[in-house]
Amino acid sequence: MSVIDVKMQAIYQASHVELPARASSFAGHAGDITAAVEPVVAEVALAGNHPIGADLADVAVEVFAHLRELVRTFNDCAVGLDRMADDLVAVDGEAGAWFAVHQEYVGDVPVASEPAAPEV
Amino acid sequence: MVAARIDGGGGRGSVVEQVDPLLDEILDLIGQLAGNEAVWRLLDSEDARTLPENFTREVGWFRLPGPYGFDFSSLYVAMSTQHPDFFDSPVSNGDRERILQNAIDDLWHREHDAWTGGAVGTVYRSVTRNVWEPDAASLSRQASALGDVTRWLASQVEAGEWAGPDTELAPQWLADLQKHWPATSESPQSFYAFWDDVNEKCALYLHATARLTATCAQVAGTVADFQRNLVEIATTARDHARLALRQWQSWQDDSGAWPTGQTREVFGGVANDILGGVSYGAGIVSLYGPAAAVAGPISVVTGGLAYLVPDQVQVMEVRSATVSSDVHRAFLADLQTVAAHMTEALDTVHTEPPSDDPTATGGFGTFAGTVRALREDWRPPPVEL
Repeated sequence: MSVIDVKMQAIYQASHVELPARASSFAGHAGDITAAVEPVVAEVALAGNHPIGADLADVAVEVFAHLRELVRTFNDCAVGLDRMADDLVAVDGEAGAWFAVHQEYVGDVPVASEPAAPEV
Repeated sequence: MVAARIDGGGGRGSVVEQVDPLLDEILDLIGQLAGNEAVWRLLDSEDARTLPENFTREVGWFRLPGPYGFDFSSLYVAMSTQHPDFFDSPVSNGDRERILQNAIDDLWHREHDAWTGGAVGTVYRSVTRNVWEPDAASLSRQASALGDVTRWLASQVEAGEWAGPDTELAPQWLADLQKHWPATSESPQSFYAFWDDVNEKCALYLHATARLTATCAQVAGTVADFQRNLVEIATTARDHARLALRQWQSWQDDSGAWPTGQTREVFGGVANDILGGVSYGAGIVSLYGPAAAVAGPISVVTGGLAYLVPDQVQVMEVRSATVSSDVHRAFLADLQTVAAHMTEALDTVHTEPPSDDPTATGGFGTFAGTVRALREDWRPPPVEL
């Protein structure tokens, strides 16, 4: 493989495969926190609205927010790298030739959906 | 009829289905005791009644109503054979005996129904609402789900998972990306700084999620055990009231003067007492710790008295009660104690540091404050593309 082949492969694999996979994984587990903590807070409210419920909610929301930040960063990096690679394809003949036979990278990056925040 | 019932749904069914009929049964038994006591007061007043001229007291045979009823003899005011109207009276002594039996029946049922049809059942259910209403099974399921997230975060912290591009453990695509980072962009340094930091941040989130999981498991276990405790003390109260009625059957006198004196022994069953609040909380905190949440799935046994400190229980007041009003008052106090102890246990879960985390400086409440305060430090670094 030529240098440009390696370069294009590295950038597109990162933007279309590796980073979205991590974004998706983090989004899924952030969503799992939301799915778990909402019923927890609801049930603790029934136990006399004990203040431990508010702290459970707060810690869950803090962790969720940081995981969502990671999801956003992975998504942004993927999109940014994809755009840079697309620019390269547009202006560089060798890159364009490589891209012509790697149609799996046509189109937008499959960004992970942002996880729903806990409503607690 | 009971004015209000426990309206549980979904996973609440188990505890509701057990507690609700017990409370109805206890009210029925207290009502029966009250009926017996009222009948004895009536008979005492009959006994104390001043006899009219040419009236006497005869021994009559009566029946105390109810499932724990019994036949007994008692004196009633009867017309003497010396009375001038004895042979012409439209009301015979047999009629007088039947009138007294009717009065016994009416009085007994009125007293009984006042308990079963009044608002006392609503009071019992209301004071224990915090105990029976939460769904312990749901809490347990969510603790398990949070445990899954915890262990996923633990896998992110493992060596090599977020290895930098210059390390031997780095995947090829990452090393290639670093080498061929688009020249049109800003420096890739911020991306790799971010990448290197994921591991460290995940360690922080892992710690937080482990404590979240452990605390959720502790809450689930607490609710489950106090729900079970509620069922057991209601069962003990029910058995105690049955014992009181059986004492009536054998002694045929006010329950305050039981011949055996065994007011603290449950008839044919096992006496249960009330879980301690603080001691229980300390126990459950040591049972489900954050290290355990990282190590593997936590199994919260719902509804099974998973943890009990035998010498830290509170003896039920109802086990010392003998008459209906005392049984009611003591049982109500026991129900209030169960609810208060569960709150104390949750307070302890909130404030007690986990025993399997030597780095912990406080309980979950303190930890939550720390997490909030460190929000900016815990935020992943931005990437400048």
